[in-house]
Formats: sequence, structure tokens, C-alpha cells
Amino acid sequence: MTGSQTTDIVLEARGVSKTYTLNSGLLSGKRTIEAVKHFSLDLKKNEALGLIGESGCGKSTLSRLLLGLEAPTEGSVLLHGQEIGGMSRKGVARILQPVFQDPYSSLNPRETIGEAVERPLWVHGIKDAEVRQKKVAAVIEAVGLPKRTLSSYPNQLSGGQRQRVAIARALVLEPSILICDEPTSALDVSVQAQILNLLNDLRRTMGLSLILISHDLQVVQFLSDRVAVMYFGELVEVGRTEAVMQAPQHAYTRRLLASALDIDPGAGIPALSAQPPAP
Amino acid sequence: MNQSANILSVRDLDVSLPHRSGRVHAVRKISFDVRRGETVCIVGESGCGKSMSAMAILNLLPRGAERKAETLSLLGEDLRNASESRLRRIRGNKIGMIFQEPLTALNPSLTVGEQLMEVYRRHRPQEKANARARAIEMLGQVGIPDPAERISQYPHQLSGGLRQRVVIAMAMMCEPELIIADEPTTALDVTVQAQILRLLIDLKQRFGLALLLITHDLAIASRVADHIVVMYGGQVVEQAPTSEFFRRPLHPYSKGLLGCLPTSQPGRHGQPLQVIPGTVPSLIGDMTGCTFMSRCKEAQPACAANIELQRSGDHWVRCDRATLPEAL
Repeated sequence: MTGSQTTDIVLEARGVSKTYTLNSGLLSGKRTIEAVKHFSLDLKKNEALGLIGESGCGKSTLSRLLLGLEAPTEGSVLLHGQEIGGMSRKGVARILQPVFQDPYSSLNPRETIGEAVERPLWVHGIKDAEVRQKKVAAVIEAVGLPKRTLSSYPNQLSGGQRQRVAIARALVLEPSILICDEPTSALDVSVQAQILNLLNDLRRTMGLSLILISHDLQVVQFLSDRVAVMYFGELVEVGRTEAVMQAPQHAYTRRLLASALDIDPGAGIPALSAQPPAP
Repeated sequence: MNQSANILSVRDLDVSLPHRSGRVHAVRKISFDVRRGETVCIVGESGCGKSMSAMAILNLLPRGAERKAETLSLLGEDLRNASESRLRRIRGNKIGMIFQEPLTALNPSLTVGEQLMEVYRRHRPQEKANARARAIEMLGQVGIPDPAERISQYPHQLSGGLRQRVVIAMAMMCEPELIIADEPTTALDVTVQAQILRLLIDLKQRFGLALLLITHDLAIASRVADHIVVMYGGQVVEQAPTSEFFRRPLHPYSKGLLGCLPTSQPGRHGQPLQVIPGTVPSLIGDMTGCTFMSRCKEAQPACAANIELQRSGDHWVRCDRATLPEAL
């Protein structure tokens, strides 16, 4: 019995730290910044894991580590049990794909949508044009875009449509894991709802595992089975979404929950203590 | 309606801007009032014309823009034909302004104190000597610790939250009657956002200000506003007192917006959010009928004709399908 517990984990951070060294000036010498500190977290198959934290907490650094784009200073990132640093870029890309915040800067303005979505298939050596086109058509349909989008350029699409294209391009290699870094924060609320529903649908129909990085508690709450809270580079709390929302344990999680505003006419803005809690 | 209680009165404000494929009709005959001591929130998504409306009040529109209005008055003064020098005496003096991005609203090469004092020197030349004391006082009022030391710091030495407090202090320097705040917390973290919003409400109450808050966030609007103005496609589609609006939103767009918030459906984890299909319309050229028609679930052929504004007391709605409650 090797146990289904371990094989269920598709992506894992084991005691990961990332330290950057800054040359801050002529006289002040070198400084180091610990962006991520001894971070351990696992993502299970078919799970949606939300990662919340505010700017500067290290969540984007963590996402780069999880994507294998940077090597951790300490600890390791395991993709299907294998050290991600030892895998080829293409090998990682077939399993793990990112979706970024800003659909405006993540698409090449001179490339049609069809070309942009087809490119990963080219890169991964799928020579048969018919196979490529079939895959592109299927994925464009899966993200709810009309076929004519394929011949459009990014500037002809709205923000929501571009984010759908970004998701289509991430999915065209049929990865099993998506890491979405603030996927809706550049979008209007009416469009945000469309993208959140899409991610939720794709998760079921394609059996995806998701990591959703966001500063928006409500977005995370909607999509995630589990929530991890990050503060000053550390994991301060992790648990089932409902449990964390209903009974937050860490002072910082409570502060985050208190400042996430829902609709409550005339309720005013809750008071927070002036000093944020110690990490 | 008691006109004299109005700090700001806007009737049929219209703004169009030049664009390579015709004129963009960004604001289409909007009307609203801001009364003394009241918070009015203009809510809407990007491109609905909410920021352009605020800029039009202050006549800070881009080159080539055209502004028309039936009424545009501040404290009874007609702003429609006010000269540029008169407007300069109003901006920062009678109307304080707070913008989204505190880093671009502040001059990076001047200290916080110099920027605060400049406001005072310009609008209160006879009290120049007090400028420094007033600047320190205001920094304290907006909750900046050690104001006497902070005053000689530069914007880059402050965090985003502190910078926005400085911008608020700047807006408050000359005790304005009205503050116009355009997405003042959008660039900030949620915990900082809560603190800045509390500060605004607190200042408003302490100094009896009127506040015109422009936001895309309905949750914020619900909590701070006395009156909600919903904009879509350059038009005001609905406006009502806050409790009335959230109890009984009438316009299909208002209902749709409320429905697609992930917050509005607690305990519905796993079920899809309501969506508004399609995207916001382009505002180029003229439009007749309802601007929301192409995305509306309740649309009927008659919606392509001119839609009349229905009104019952303070609740206005631009939709023929909506049924207004009886006037109270």
C-alpha cells in the first residue's frame, strides 16, 4: 500500500523559501529580502486551492516558484512527486499552465487569437496542422468564444474575451493544473462572474486542479475547496474554505475577513485596529 | 425638492469627446444632486462615464471635449460659464478632489509639506504664515502618526495607504464643502481600503462635508452612501436612496449587477453565479432607446424607442418595464 494519499497530491511545496539580494545603494551594501519563508502546501487532484494575501506578501513569488520559473533558495517544489527544477520546461508546461492577471499584456498584439492559441502546440512539436486546428477549435469552444474570434486580433476583443483567450491558450496542451494569478482583478464585476463560472465549469469538465491566487476573499470563497492565507511570506492559516471563513484562527485572517465588505446598506465600514498583527 | 440644501446640482449634463471614428458621447444627460452632509455614490463599470461626469463638474475634461448642461451649480453658483481663473479658485478650495492613484496625484519631487502648503498659499494668501501649522494639523486629522516629521518626507517614503491619507489631507486643507473622490481605494489593499473609507466617513461627519464618491464597488456604496446613482452607457439608469435601492432595485442592469457578485449568494458554493451576458456598449455616436437593451433579459422591441425616465419621489429609473412603487 503506497496509499492514495500521496498519489493524490499533484503539486507540492516543501519548506520552500526564496530570498532576494538587493544592492540598495553605494554605501548601504547588500540587503536581503525573504519573499517566501518555509512555505509548505499541497494541491490535490481536482482540488481548487485559494491563496489569499495582500500586495507584498509574496504570493506572486510563490506562484513563480510553483511554476518552476524560479528556483527556491531552500526547500523543493514537487510536480507529481518529481522535483520541478529537474524537469524540462516543456515537460512542466504539459502539466502546469499559468493564467495571469492582465489579459492586455499577456497577448501579442500582432498575432491573431488563432495563432496565439495554436503556438503552444507548435512549440510542443505537433506537426499535423489538422490536429492542431481541431484542438484549437475545441478549446476556443470550451471557453465559450465564437469561432470567428480565431481570426481577430487582441485589440478587437474586450477584457473578458481576452481573459477567455488566455485561459484557452493555457488549456490547449491539456494540462492538469492551472495556476491563476488574480484572473479577474482587471475585469468588471459583470465580466468577472462570467470568468469565475467558466473556471468552475472547466474544473469539472476537464478534471483540472486549480490554484487561485487573489486578494479578493469573495472570489476565492466562490471557487475554492481550501484556502491558504499568506502574510509576510509565510503561510499563516490553511483549511477548508467554510471553516476558515466561519472560524478564522489567525489574527491576520480575521483582519482580512473583517475588511472584505459585502452588501449591507447603511452598515458603515468596520473598524480595524490601527496596527496590523505580527506575522 | 429643497434646492437650497443642495451643495451640487446637476441637470442634463452631457459630455462628448473627439475620437478617430466619430465623437464619443461619454455622458448622456445625467442629473443628480448632492445635498449638504450627504454621501452620494455613482456606481458603474469601466467606461460607463462615471469618472467623466466628475471631471465635467470641475471642467477638467480632455482637450476637445464638449460639455453641456441645463444646470451645473455649486452652492448656488452657476459653473457652466465660470472662467478658468474662477474655477481654479473653486477647485481645491470649495471642492476637494481625491483620485484613485495617490502616487500620480502627488508630485514626487516635493515634500508632503510643500504640497500641502501650496494649496493653502494659493487659496488663502493672507494666511500664508499659518500654512505649515495647518498642514501639520491636517496630517494629524487624517491619522498620520508623527505629522511634524512626516511633513518633510517625500511621497516615495510613504506606503500607499499613507500617501492616500496625504491626498485626503490635501483635499481638506481649505475646508471644502464638497469632496469628489474617484475610486479612492481601488489601488489599495483591502485592509487599507477599510481604513481609508472609515477615515473619509469620519472626516465627512466631523466637518459636515458632502461627499461624491465614484466607485465600481457596490458593497462599498451600500455601506457608505445615502444615495446611489447607477450609471450605464453614459446614462443614469437608476437612482434612489440607498436602503430603497438595495431593497428594491428596479432597473434590469442594477438587478444584474447585484446578482453577479460572488458575495450575494452565501452558501451557494458550487453553483454558477448569475451573469450579465455580453459586454458594455461602445459610446461612439448617437444611440436611441435603452443602452442596456442588447444585454437585457427583459428587453422588448419597444425598448429600441426612446425610454422615458420614470420617477417616484427620490427613486428614478430609466426603464419602461420597471414598476415604481407608489410615492411616499
